[in-house]
Amino acid sequence: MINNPATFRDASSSCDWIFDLFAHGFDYLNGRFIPAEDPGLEDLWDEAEKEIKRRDIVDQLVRADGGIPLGLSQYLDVPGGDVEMRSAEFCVRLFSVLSAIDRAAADLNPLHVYTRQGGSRWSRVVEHFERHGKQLQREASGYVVFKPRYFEQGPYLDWSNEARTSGQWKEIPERGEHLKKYFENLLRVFPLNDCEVDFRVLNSIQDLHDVSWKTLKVGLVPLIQELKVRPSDAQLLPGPLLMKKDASTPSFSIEIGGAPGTSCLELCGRAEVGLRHLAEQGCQIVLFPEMVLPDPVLQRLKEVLVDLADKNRTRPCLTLAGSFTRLLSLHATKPFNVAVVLNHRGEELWRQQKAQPYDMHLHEQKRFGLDSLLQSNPCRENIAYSPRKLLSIDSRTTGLRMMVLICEDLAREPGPRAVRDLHPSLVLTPVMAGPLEDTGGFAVSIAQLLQDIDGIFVVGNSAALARAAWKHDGKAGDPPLLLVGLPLLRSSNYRPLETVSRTEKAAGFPDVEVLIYQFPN
Amino acid sequence: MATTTPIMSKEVSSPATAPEDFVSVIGRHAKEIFDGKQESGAQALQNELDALTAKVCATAFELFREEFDGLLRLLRNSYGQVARFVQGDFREQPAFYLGQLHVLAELAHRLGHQRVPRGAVELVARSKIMERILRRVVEEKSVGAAELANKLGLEESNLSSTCKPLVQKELLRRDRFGKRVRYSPTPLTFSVLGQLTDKQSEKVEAARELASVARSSDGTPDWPRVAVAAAANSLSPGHHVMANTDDFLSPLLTLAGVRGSDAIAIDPSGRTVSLEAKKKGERTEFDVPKSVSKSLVEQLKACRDFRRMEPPTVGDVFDWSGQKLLLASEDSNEGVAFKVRFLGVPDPEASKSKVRTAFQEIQEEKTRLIDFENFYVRQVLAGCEWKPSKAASTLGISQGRMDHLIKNLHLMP
Repeated sequence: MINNPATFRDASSSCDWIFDLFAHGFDYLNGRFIPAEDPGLEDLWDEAEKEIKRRDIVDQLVRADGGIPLGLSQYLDVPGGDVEMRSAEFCVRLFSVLSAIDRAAADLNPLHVYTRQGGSRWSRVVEHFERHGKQLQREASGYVVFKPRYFEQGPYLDWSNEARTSGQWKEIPERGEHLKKYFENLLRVFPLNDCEVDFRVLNSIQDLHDVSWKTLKVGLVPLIQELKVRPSDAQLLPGPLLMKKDASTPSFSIEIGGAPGTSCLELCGRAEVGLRHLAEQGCQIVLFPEMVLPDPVLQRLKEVLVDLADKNRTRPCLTLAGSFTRLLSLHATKPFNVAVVLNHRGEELWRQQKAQPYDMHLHEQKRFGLDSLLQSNPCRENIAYSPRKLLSIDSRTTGLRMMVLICEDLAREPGPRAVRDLHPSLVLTPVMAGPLEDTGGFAVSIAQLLQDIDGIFVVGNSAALARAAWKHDGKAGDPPLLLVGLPLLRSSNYRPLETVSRTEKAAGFPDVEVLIYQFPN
Repeated sequence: MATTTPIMSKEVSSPATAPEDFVSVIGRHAKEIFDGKQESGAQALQNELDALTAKVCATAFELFREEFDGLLRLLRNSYGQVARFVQGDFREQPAFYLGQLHVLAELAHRLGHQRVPRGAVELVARSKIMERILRRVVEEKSVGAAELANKLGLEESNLSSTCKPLVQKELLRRDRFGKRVRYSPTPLTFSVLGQLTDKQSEKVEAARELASVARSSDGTPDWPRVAVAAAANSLSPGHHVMANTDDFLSPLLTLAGVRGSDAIAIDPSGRTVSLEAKKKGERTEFDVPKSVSKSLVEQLKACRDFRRMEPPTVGDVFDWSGQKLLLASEDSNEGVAFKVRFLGVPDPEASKSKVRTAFQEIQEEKTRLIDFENFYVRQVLAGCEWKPSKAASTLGISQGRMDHLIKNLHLMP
């Protein structure tokens, strides 16, 4: 990381790629300089902007196609002395150069409404971006990637405006200062030392099409309703899933009781009824929870979506088909907890593995009624979780950046840091946890993250543990199983989220409960 | 004592990937996936194909077919790298057709993303003030809110509310530096304004501009300028090789054509002309007559300036009797140096024919000029009552030169 004058001087003199210079410059200014109000700098700002215009630096950048144009170097004129490098004059100059790079890169940003890349314009940069993992930097540490659209600029502008006009929601007031908010197109992401990040862009034939975003409608199929604890295991009902303890570690795992093909039939049927109902209701996003969707059920969901597509029926553009333990080539013997995301035709868009295991502590075991079975403090979820890799998925059609963080990953690093750094506009979180109350851990984590980024968070839970804890706490009615975080504040309680407890019966057989959240509601 | 780091323009150290590199990388990743069964190779291969798709889209904006020929070669070779792993007839596999649809969708998306959304055009078209804001911002490149409001005669608060939807629709960029807000254009700004400019009025405006260039300060047509503009204008395709008597470039181009050169370089004085044949590595330099050099340079300047009045869509490309030319100029202390490059190899037969036509036109011009000289001197002599001394004084030549003309042109009352 470049944060002292000498390092920046060396890095800038040796670098020959404009997005590396952006990274070095950003790192140097970060924490040192914020273009905030300072009456003493007004003349410097005017002077800097005048020079950028006079030297035609933005156009020079486009023509240089990734190179560092002479006009920019001459204007930046990196001083040889540390004192001059720390001066406001140099910082304003450097910031103005970074801002010019950011403006020039607007031509390229695939997440914005329009790009201007015809002919030889930016051909070298586009080639680099496409070939090198959808990243712009070459030598600099960490990443330089494109920034997704602002919340206000996305397709959700209509419902966002409507919510604010109704008076029930307000904008989240800005708190704190971050250098990255001054850039519209380029996002500097510092190296995540404990986690690999894989940047992907959905190909256009699989991207999120055919969806009206006039209102946001999210559906959840909890699928599992009840926990039945037995001496040697706990049944997740209805269905064949069993929670078992491995005394040697000590840890717990969830397995299929019986042959997967036949024992999962009931679960498959329930998942199908739930999905068909939510599709009929016009949900754009459907969630299934954590650890309740083994492969036979996943396959059924794919078939349902294919069928709905064949019949040209309304269907979700995105289905988070829950998660289950799955073996990956990264680890030969231990399975990862892997979530699968499907598009509107049931095609797999991506798979995300969980990066943090769940340590279920004794007080939680007691709330869930699992203390007699697990009897250890804590009892860890028996999954592989390293090497860690988080996926950042961009949808060029909607301008959304999406991430899936499974349960603990929303509350424990590296998940929250990745969210802060990558600015996803949609975060989907399947969980198997207690009730999703608006004072709980997930809600607190979302509220904090929404201070820093504009995004939508959807957390979906199964009912078994939540109902057990709800009952243990002596609370009446249904526990909240769906939690939606929004980049707006509820006027009544100044919280950027809502929980949903009310279930409804899906049409069809067998009886399946689903939850729907609509915004504005 | 503080020193300053040296300033230099930094070209990127590696150029765009050569086609053969593309092909070998694709082959390597294909091997990883299909032989080595490495999952990571799939994403890497997809990245290479994404880069190729981007190349195809960029080529869609190229003028000449040759650009596509190279691209097709690259695609065929890349195809071969993957095809060797196919077992059986891949046309019987759904994946083959899915792959085609995948690429078609990707091309449609990428090309579509370089087209303007209707809603953005409609938003600006409905509001004159929005259009004025955008035009002013484009003109200024980046402008402070206070300055912009002042230039448009608006209150700053009104400007802010008018700009808000433009910012939301990505038609305007708003930055806050210190206390001040600055607006700058986005790629969409340029395109929407381009759409709003009526093509017909654009042509009228261009003609008006052309006419205004050719007018003197009191508004009457400046005849020499009109003539120069007309000379440049007449370089459009036609039956002639030379545009007019001042067109010395065309005969030089015919010389380049028959000698197999691909470019002509003209020095700022217009005296030295080089015929360059890049492929053969040859360069032939010669001096053109002094009497011609000035006209040659003026003609090239007129051509360059004439092109700049047109919408900058195809660069300084001309059509010269069916042959595409690229005109480049470089300002220096000595003046302007020009280079005219053939785009594509001139047809040798057509070049020969052009030489013949050009020579014929030179001959005809010579005849016309001699005839006109005869007529002109005769009329001057007649006006001077056939007194050679008076006529010599009127024409500004010596008595001896006058006698010589009378003899050679057989001038008698």
